[in-house]
Amino acid sequence: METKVNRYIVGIILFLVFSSPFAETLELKAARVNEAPPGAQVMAGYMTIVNNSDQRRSIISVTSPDYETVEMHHSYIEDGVAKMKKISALTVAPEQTLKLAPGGNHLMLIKPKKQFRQGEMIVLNLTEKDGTEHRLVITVTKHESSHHHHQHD
Amino acid sequence: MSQRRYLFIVTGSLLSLAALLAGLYLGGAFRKPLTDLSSATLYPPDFRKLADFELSDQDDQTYTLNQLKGQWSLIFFGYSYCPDICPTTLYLMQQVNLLRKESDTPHPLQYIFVSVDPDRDTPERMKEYVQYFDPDFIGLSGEKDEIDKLVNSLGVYYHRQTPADDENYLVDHSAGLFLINPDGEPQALFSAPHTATNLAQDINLITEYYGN
Repeated sequence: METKVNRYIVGIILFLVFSSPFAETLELKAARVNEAPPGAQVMAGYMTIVNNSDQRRSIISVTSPDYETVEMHHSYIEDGVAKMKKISALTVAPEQTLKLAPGGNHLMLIKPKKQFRQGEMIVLNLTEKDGTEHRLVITVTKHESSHHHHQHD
Repeated sequence: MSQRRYLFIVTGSLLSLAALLAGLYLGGAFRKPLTDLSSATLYPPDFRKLADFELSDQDDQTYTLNQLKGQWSLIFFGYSYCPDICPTTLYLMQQVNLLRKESDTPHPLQYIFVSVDPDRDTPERMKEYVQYFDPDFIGLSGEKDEIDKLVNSLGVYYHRQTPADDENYLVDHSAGLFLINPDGEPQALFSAPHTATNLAQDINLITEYYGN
């Protein structure tokens, strides 16, 4: 009887471990959107995407109720020229991490529905290739290197 | 030849020689070259002069080559619909401004953002945009031909990406920063990636070396 119960408990634990969201899907961390100048029609979203699974995983679409469109972009510098291109997916290899950071991959948030200021929230919905959805609520921040200088009220 | 006349010629020659040496010294012929620059590339002395141009600043005032003269200027080319590289670079310029103010340099610097996307960047747009980053910043826009005069004489590249039907088009543009001297001539180019500390240090070295 006792062994049966134990087996039951072990079964539940195993089920919880393997069905935990971190084990099978992407983990989205440190998401950041910088406040933009008044009237700005584009903003950038950055984050760290951790793939804890043993499968290649891709974000293939991003939407937001707070922007008209969201695109995935890659910035790079080639022969001294800053270029940007639209990409169709953010793909992370098994057990790897992909950083979206200034000067590299980012989400291009186009036509905000209002001017978002520091401290306000925006929502992003990211969809993986297999249909898994992630909803992120991000607090808008000032650019990390600007805190001691600006005040806009 | 009288002794007096001889003395006169010798003194005159010595004075001329002294004046010549002083001239060479002040003209920089005997100065050791600037070598401690961490990220700047100096333009060769015979590099072409900037073409005159007529743009509008963020207050819709005419801004020409003349406004570049009389003080040092740091120029960056970009556009306000650029979400990543441009804000990052403008924050960097703001940091440079802060560092230079702290360093108490006697050589003031104008910080100028020139739009390479005049269709979308009107002077009003530029005012909101540049002054968000720093109230000291100047934002220039205007006719494409006038922007091209400045762009071409600095050897800068920009390119509006197709498809043209997409209103959210992207523009490729130089990632460099350009230092213009008080004679309105290109002095140095800073290539990306930049750091505020290196930029401020190099700008201080260059402006101190060449003066106002």
